[in-house]
Amino acid sequence: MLNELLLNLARWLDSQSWSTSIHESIYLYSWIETTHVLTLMVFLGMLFVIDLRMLGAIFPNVPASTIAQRLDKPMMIGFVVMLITGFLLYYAIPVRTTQSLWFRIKVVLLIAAGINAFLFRAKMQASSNSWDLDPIPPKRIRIGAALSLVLWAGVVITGRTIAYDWFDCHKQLPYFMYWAAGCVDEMAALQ
Amino acid sequence: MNKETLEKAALGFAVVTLISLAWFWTVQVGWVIETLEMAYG
Amino acid sequence: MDLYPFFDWLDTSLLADISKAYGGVFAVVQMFHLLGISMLGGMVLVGDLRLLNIVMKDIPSEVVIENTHKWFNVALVIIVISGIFMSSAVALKLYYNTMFWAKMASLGAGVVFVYAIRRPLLKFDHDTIKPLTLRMMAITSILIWFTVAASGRWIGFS
Repeated sequence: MLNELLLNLARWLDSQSWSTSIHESIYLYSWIETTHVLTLMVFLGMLFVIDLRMLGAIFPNVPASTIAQRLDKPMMIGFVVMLITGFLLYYAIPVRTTQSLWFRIKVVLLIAAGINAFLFRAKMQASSNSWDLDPIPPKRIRIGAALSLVLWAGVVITGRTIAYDWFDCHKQLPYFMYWAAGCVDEMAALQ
Repeated sequence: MNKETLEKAALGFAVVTLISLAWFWTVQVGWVIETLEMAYG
Repeated sequence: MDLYPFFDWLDTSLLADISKAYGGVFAVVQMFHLLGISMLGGMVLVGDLRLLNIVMKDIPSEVVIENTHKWFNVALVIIVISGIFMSSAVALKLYYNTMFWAKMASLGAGVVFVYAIRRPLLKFDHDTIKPLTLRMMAITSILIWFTVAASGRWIGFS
């Protein structure tokens, strides 16, 4: 059901001329993709500094909340650019991306990273005055920071592997994999 | 190295690098424009 | 100095056997390369934006710069090791790729700049360094590392 819905949405996007224009452009797609990757330096770079501080590995002499607050803005600027360029990359190749197992895992990891960040922020605001000046924050904070880094590493690798066709719909795959990748037609053919 | 020399080296390096990078990116953009003109006229 | 023998050797080395045969291993190594780039970018940007008085204005720039050194080193090591592995998959192609050499040139310039100029100079009290010098260094630093990353991505397109 959801698979059909997503596929229909992707086909609708695919039928738009702007989508084709980006896809078939000589440079525009590469530029969007380069921007998407380079913003890693801004978004993930800032996140590295914040998470490493929460792990007690950098800026031991600066309060943890100060690092998190001062770097929040540049990090969010990087995130917004990533989100826009990421959407454009999806928009340029909607059908294949929708039916990409890697892209689906990536979206799940992104949501997980978002929930983790939200919980982390709440946890931090509730308790930071008790450990803000500690060079090494308490264990639950360190676990949250480590989880954040692991989830984003997962987002990076699944983003990269979208380019590989190992589990594309045209391959011979078991029914479960077709379902997970949303290969609606191939599922119907197997039944 | 003493501080004055380092400061001069830093400024010199910065100027040379900025000029080289400006040249490098101008060449890249020029090349892109050339390709686009060949493709679309 | 012709480096062709090195690329020829790399192309047939054990590393190349692995990087050419296993796409999954290549992707994982590339993930580390990208994470290394992010970490390096973060350290460079935090330091340089502080020198430009854009972020963390209430923390002394000496403290900011000092703290980024260690993780910049870690990131650079990760990037170089994973980069050599990735090169082995397409060693001979890289030898003839202009963008690859542009990237190596900017990487070389970046490394010399960081270890021979930026770090030694920033060991001094930043108040005693001319603001213009600090600003020029920060802009140069950001642009060099941006160029290294951008030309790196462009190797794949050219």
